[in-house]
Amino acid sequence: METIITTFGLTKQYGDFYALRNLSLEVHRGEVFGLLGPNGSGKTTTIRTILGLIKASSGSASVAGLDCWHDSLMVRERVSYLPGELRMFGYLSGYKHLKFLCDLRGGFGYERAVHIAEKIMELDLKRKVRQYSTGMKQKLALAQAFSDPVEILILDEPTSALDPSAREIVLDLVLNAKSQGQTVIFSGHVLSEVERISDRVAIMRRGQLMHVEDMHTRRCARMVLARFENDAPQDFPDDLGLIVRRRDGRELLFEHQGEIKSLLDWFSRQPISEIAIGTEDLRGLYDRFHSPDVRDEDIVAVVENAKP
Amino acid sequence: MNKSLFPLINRLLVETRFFLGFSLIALFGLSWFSVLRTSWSEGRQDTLAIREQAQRGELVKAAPKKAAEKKDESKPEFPKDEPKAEPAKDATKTADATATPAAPARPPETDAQRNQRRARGFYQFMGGPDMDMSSGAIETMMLYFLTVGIPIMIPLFWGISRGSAAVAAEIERGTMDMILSRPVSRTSYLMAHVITTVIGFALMIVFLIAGNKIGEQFHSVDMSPSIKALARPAINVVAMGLATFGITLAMSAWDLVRWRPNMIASILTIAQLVGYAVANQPGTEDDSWYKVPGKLSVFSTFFPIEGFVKGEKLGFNVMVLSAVFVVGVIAAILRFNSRDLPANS
Repeated sequence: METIITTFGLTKQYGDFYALRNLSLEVHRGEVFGLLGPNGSGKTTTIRTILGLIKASSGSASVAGLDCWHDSLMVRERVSYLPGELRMFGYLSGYKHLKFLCDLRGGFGYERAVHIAEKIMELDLKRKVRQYSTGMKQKLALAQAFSDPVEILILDEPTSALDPSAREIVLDLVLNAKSQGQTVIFSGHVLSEVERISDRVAIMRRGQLMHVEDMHTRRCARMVLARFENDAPQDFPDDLGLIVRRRDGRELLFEHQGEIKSLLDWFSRQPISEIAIGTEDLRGLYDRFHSPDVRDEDIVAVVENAKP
Repeated sequence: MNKSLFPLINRLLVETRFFLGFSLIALFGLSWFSVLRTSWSEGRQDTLAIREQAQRGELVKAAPKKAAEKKDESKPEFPKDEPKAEPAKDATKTADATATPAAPARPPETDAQRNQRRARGFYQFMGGPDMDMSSGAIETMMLYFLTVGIPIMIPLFWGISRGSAAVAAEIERGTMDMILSRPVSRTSYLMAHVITTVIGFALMIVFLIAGNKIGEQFHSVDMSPSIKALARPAINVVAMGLATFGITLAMSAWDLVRWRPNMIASILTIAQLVGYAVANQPGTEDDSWYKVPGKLSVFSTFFPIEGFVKGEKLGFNVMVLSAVFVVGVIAAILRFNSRDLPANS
């Protein structure tokens, strides 16, 4: 799969504080890439580095082979960005705001922006932006972002101020953008939304990349909770592909991927009193890195196989 | 430069329309007011001269006015060693005094005196070191403030305001991300601010001149200078604003909040004005230590009356002030292109 965004050893340091530490990841062309992590984990710093708004202390970031700092202008011709915290020109009307931002891109996308804002987001574009609520401003900015004729959309918490109906619309627009071949980076805190639309998800913690999960594979995975009549076994056949998530006396929670038949055959030979099979949502994966009892020394950052 | 320049300039003109509009109206009005004031002043002087001549029985010998004016227009001179003309308030008192038969005869006004009187009147609004400050009368001080102080302050305010707005205010307001996440180069972004500011300054020159020329149509004055002659001091005033803009822009490119470049630029400007005023107090020795701040002051290159009268100084003044502006802009571009933009900027 073709890579469109690459970071290698990306580090951003402010004095003694590391906003990003040795971040290496790849985003594939045409995928929806979820970016997860609590506040201050480095998501926005990653995005701003990609946009060339900040300069990395070390490492590199590139978009379609273009250096994100030195070729920033050409990078931004390919990228549309929705900031996490929206500030707009309150003295402009909705129409003029969209016109101004489209004009900065040569006037492209204005009709589509107006269409999305009026017909889909149901905004009154004649009103001054200062009269808009926070949610309405976010809708206006989303209309702008989805109308830009670009290869990459970077959406930083795009649904944070929206009502449930509008959230659904945004998710549909993201999937629509993907179907048209656009690459989307979706940074957010609502795990269910990220889980629903993402092809892959990266989890960050304190400026480091903790984990990259392929959501298609994850959707095929199942979580199995088994209670044994005696103590749970210590070893399992390798060919079953079981990953133990929690062990508690006679109770065992493990993750399984692959053929269910061989697992059921093995179960039938074990002294099991109860069994429950389900799927794990993204919350479980996220909590592995961000639950309150997780300590820094217990987890290790991952480095993707990105090339400089 | 790219396609984003025009929409950026357009937005900035919309954003600053009230500030710029009121500034231009103020400059136009004050310029007009200076003509009106000159007309009053000349009217009083003429009345006084006619009254004196009538008392002496010399009314028929009054010098032809037009010939003297033509000579003045070709090469006006304002000799400094001539006695200053009395302010209008004092002149009225003198008129009362001369009503008695014992009053001494007033000599006919010389060309030099007439030129000096005009300098106090028609060109007074541009200020400069040749300004007649001999009278401490409140009327004169107020007139000085209205016709000299404000026309200088307005370009300075404009320069400081636009300089600090360019980077620091945009970051503080949080709208920088929205603009620079689009395909807008940082140099283009800054150049849009520079061009908008220069447009504002150009309009100030036009409105200063227009106020005079239109005012002349309604109030008669002895001498009507050409547009070119009026443009010289106007350009000089504006060039000082331009230099202040360059300094403020450079500071703004370093900063995150607007108040700091605003404050520093204001303090610098006031300090330079104070230094200049102290250094140019009458009776000071040329080698005095307090002449130094005057030489360092940007106001030391501000000689609009000199520029008007002699012409040759204008080029040097504008060149120095423009150089300060260009250095400020270059420093701002270098800094802005290499700095990080903070989150939510």
